[in-house]
Amino acid sequence: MRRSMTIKARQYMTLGFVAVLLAAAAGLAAWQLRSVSGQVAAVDASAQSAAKIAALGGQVGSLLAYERSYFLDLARQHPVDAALERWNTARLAVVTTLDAIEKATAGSAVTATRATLTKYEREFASLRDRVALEGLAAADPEGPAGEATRTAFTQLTARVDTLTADVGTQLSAGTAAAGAGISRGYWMIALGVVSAIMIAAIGFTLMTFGRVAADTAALVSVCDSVSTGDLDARVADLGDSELGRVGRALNSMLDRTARLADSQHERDQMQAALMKLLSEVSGVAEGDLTVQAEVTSDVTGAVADSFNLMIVQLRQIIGQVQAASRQISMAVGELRDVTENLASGSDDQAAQAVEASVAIEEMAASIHYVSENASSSATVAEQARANAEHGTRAVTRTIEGMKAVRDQVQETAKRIKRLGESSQEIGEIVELIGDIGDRTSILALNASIQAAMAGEAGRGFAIVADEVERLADRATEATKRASMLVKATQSETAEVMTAMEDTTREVINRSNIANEAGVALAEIQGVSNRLAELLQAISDAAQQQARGSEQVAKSMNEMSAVTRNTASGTKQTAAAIHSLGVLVDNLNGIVTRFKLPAAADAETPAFAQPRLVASR
Amino acid sequence: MSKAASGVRTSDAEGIAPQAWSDLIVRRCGLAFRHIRMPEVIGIVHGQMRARGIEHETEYYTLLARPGDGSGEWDALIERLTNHETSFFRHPPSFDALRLHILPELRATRPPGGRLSLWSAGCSTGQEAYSLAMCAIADNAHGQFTVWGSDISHEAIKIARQARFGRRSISTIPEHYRQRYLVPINDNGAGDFTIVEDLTQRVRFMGTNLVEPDGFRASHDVVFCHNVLIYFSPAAVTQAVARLAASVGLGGYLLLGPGEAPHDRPPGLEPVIVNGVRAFHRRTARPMEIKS
Repeated sequence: MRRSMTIKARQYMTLGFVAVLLAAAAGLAAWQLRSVSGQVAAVDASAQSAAKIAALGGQVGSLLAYERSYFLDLARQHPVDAALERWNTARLAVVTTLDAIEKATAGSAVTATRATLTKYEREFASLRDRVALEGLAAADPEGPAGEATRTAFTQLTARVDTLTADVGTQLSAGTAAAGAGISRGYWMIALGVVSAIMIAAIGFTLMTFGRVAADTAALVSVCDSVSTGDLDARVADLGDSELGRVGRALNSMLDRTARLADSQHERDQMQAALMKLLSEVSGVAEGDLTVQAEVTSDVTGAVADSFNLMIVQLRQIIGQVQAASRQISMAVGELRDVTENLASGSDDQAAQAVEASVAIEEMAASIHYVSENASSSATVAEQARANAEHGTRAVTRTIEGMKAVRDQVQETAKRIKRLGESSQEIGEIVELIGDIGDRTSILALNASIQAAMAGEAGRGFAIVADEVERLADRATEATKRASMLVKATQSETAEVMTAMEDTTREVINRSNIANEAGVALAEIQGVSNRLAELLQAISDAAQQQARGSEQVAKSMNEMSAVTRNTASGTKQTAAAIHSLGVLVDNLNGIVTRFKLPAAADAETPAFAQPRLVASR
Repeated sequence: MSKAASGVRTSDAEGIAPQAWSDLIVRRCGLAFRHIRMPEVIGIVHGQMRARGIEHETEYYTLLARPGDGSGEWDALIERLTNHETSFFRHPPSFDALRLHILPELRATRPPGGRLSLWSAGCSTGQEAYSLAMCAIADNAHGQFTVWGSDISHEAIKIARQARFGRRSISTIPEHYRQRYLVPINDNGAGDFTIVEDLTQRVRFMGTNLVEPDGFRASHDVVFCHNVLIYFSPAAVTQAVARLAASVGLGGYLLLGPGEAPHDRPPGLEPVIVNGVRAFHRRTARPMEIKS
C-alpha cells in the first residue's frame, strides 16, 4: 500500500474489500438456503400426509356406512348396485390415501393396513356371496354370518388407528428434524456473514495500524531527541497523511523553539531564586513563624522583604492570640472551681433547707401543742376563779352566821347576868324572911311564956304559940336552904358568864379567821382572773406563733424548691463551663502549633488581666 | 368488719371526707394533724394509694380500716406521715438533769453491779438514744447499762441502727463526748461519722407504736420521751403517758420534752423538779397510806 495514501482512502478501500466479502458470504448463505428449502418441502409433505391420515379415518368409516347401506337396500328389495358402487368408490379413496401415505412415510405400517383392508374386502365379498346364495335371512349381516366381516372391519379400523398414531409420531419427528435443519441453516448463514466481516475488519486494522505505528514511531523518536536537548532533530516527510501533517507542524515548531532558546538562561536564574525563597518560607505553612526570608538584590528581594513584614505582623497576632487563650484557659479554670464550689454548696443548701423545714415542722407541732395546753390551762384557771368566788361567798355567809351567833351569845350573857342580879335580890329577900322567922320564933317563945304565966287560961294560947314557933323554925330552915340555892345559882351564873365571855371571844376569833379566809379567797379570785388572762395571752401568742411557723414552714418548703432549682441551674452552668474549658483547650492546642521566637512573648502587648473574684 | 369501720362518712359518692381520714389516722396510730396540714396529709394518703395501685378512696379506706394490718400498708403510710426531726442532746437541760442528778442518784441507790435500763421512746433516727448512752457511759464507764430506742417508723430505726451521722448532725454533741465516742468514716469522702462500738453494742432499737399495747413491758430506770407527744391527739397523749409511766420502775424517772406537760398526771408518778427540769418520779418506797 502506498505511503502517500490518506487514512480516508484506506478506509474506502477497506469498505470495498468488505463488500466483496459480503457478496461471498451471501453466496454461502444462498447455498445454505437451498438445503433449507428442501427441508421445508419435507415438512410440507409431512403436513400433507397428516391431512391424508386425518381423511383416512373418515374414509374407512364411510366404508362401513356404505356396507350398511348395501344391506339395507337388499333388505328393502331395492337395487343394490348404487350402494355397492359407492362402497367401491370409498374403497378406492382409502387405497389412494394409503398410497399417498406410503409415499410420504415409506413405512411398513401401510402394508399391514392394506392387508387388513384386503381381508375386510374378502370377508365382505364372501358375505355378499352367501347372501346371494342363501338369501338375506340365512346370511344375516348382524348375525353369526356377518361375524367375520365385522371382525375384519374392526381389525381394519384398529389398524387404521395404529397407522394414524404411527404416522403422526413419524411426522412430528420428521418435522422436528426439519425445523432443526432449518435453524442450523440460518445459524450457518449468520456465522458465514459475521466471519466474513470479522476477517475484513482485522485485515483493515492490521493494514491501517501498521502504517500509523511506523509514522508515530518516527514522530516519537524526534520528540525524544528534542526532550534530551537536541533541538536540531527533524521529522522526515511522512506524506500527506494526518501524521505527515503533524510531522511538518512539529518541524516548524522546533524551528521556532530554537530561536527562543537563547532567553532560557535568564529564566533558570529566576527560577532558582524563587525556589530558594519558597524553601525559606515553606516552614510558615507548618506554623513555624521563626523563619525569615533573605532579602536579596534580585527581583525576589522585594517579595522577601514584604514577606518578612507579614511574618512579623503574624507573629504579633499569633502571640496575642496565644496569650489571650492562656488567660482564658486560666479564667475558665478559676470559673470551673467557683461553679463547682457553688454546685456543691447549693446541694448542701438544699439538704439544709429540707432539714430546716423538718425542724420547723416539729417546732410548729410543739407550738401548737403548747397553744392547746395553754388554752386548756386558761379553762382550768377560769374554773379556779369560779371556785374561789364560790368560796368567798361561802366565807361571807359564814362570817355573817358567826356574827349572829356572837350577838345572840352576848344577849344571852346579858340575860344571865340579869338572872344573877335577880337571884341576889332573892337572896336578900330570903335573908329578910329568915330574920322574920327568927323574930317570929322569939315572939312565939315569949307568947308561950306568957301563956304559962296565965295558967290554965293560957293553955290554948300556949298550943298556938308552940305551933307558931314550929312554923317559924320551918321558915328559918327553908330560908337557909333557899339562901344556899341562891348562892349556888349565883356561882353557876358567874361560871356561865365566864364561859359566855370565852365563847364570845372564840366567836370573834373565828369570825376574824373566816374574814381572813374571805380576803384570801378574794385574792385567789383576783389571781385566778389574772392567771386566766395571762394563759389566754399565752394561748393567743402561741397560736400566732403556730401560724407564723406554718408560714415559715411554707416559705422553707418554697425555699427548698428554689434551692433545688438553683442547684440544678448551677450544675448546668458547671457543665457549660466544663465544655467551655474543653473548647479553650482545643483553641490552645491550635494556637500552640504556631512556633514563635523565644522573645515573642515579651513583644506581646499586655492585656488587661481578667479577674474573677471568687467569694469562698 | 366492725361497725365503726363500715360506717364510713363519705363526702361524695367516691371520696372520703378529710375528717374521716383524720379520725382513722388518730385511731390507728394516735397521730393528730393541725387543720392547716390536712391537705398535705390527704396528698400523702393519695400518693400511697396510687403507689398501691388503688383508684378509689373508699376502697383504700376500707383496706386501712380493716382491723390488723397484714399488708404493711400502715407501716408505709406512717413512714411518710411522721417527722424524723431529732438531734444529739436536744434540750440540754434534760441531759444535764440526767448527768448531774438522776444517774448519780440511781448509782447510789442501786445495788453494785446492777444493770441500768434507759429508754428513748420515739427515738427517730437514734440520736437521743446514743446521747443517753454517752451520758450513761461517761457517768460510769464500767457500769452495766442498756439503752433502748424505739420508734413507730421502721425506716428511722433502720437509720438509727446504722449509727452513721453527718458532720452537721454531730455538731450538737459536747466536744469531749465527740472526741471520745465518734469515729470518722473515710469511705466516700462525705465526712460522715459513726459511734464507737463500745456504745453501739449497748444500744438496742425496735419498732414500737406508743399507742398500741404490745409486749414491750420492761421496767426502766430512765424514760426519755421528747417531742413525741406533740404529734398525738389528747386521747393518744393520755394513753402514751400511761404506758410510759407504767414502764418506769421503782426509783425511776420519766422526762418529757419541754412544754409537753400532759393534761393528766402520769399515773403512779409524782412530779418533781430535777435540776430545774420538770420530771416524774416513782418513789422507791410507797408512801404510807393515811387511814381515816
